[in-house]
Amino acid sequence: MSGATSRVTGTHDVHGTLVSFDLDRALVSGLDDVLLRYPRATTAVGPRLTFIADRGAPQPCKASRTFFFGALDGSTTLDAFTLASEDVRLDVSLPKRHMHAVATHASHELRMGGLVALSIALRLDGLHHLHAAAATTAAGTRVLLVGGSGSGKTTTLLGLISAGAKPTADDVVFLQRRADGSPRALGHPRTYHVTPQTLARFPHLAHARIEGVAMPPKIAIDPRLVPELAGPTLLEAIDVIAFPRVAGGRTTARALPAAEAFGTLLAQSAFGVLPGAPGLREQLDLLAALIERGRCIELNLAEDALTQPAILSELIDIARTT
Amino acid sequence: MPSQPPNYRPRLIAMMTPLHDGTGVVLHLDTKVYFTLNATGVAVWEAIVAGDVPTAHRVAERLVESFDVDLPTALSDATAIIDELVAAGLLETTT
Repeated sequence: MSGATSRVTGTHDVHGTLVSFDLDRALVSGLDDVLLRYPRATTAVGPRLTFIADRGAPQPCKASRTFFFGALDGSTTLDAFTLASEDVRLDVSLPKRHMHAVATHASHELRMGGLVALSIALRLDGLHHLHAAAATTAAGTRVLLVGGSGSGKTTTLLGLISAGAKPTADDVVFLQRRADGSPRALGHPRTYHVTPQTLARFPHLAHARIEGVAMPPKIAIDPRLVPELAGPTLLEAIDVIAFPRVAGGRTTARALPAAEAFGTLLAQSAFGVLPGAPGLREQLDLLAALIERGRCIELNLAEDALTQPAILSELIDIARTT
Repeated sequence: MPSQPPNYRPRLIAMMTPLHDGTGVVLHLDTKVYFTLNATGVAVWEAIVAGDVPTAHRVAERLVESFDVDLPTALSDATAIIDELVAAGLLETTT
């Protein structure tokens, strides 16, 4: 039996951090959404990280669990993080600025763990993960759509796009502090993950579906194959932070008190509040700055948002000015 | 001999973030549970962090300086908030 493996190597520019990778080709499909959709680095100047992925049986993690994401158990020791399941193990060394994955095969766990690992490491360079979609409405309102899985982020985003908005991210943004202290949002490029119901509402996306990427029953859509899913990778400021939730009746918006908005942001930036994660104070201050400078609304989504998506734009544009 | 009133301090696992509308949020880093504070709660927390001898009475005195409230009412409010924060595992006594 040959011990040779085929590797994929290169360096990508992840919002100014140069991430050099060396991946077993068999694992590439599991890391495409994590790393490989960023542009190739065109400079050698900048902070660096390395990401190695090897195929094999992962060693069990002996440290006690201090956090978890889905099926992945997480543990923290001084300056190091481990995420592990039966089939996957990811180690992050902050002093070495190094990530190492060992996995039996490309899987959703590898994808999820890879994103967690990357998010932890990018904290070293002031990039803070937030589970959110982002777009600019046709009227120019820059909005974050924040919420957990199933809250309606992607459906709202697709509705806004059909009303003329330009997307920046479908599911993940990295917040970064500007020189004046205000936050900006940088989109994490990846496939769109939609439910079959959402795809039925937006059938023009069906030709861009790709298999084996999204966690069933969700379906992955390659945004590179859909012209209207192209948009700016950066929002220099955030005007509105909207928290969608599926509701009955008709689509409405209500202003959200600061503490309630902050709590929801905390819940959707879980990678940021891991014990031992770098920059925790900075993360909390960044979230506080976000809600100080943007209008926070709860967006109650009903059927009319799908049949008349301009309603979504109107509610978000109104929130910006009130 | 009368017992000394307890002093309070934030636990290391508690991080408070003040918000622009005067409210605040205290995050429990172990449980990830967060605790919202109204303006009085924020003032109580900040008085405890800033105080040399942060007893409930000293905290109440700080509230009287900041809010239009008499000392008995301030002491009652401060004691209630401190008790809640202790019960939530966010404050601890030092005596």
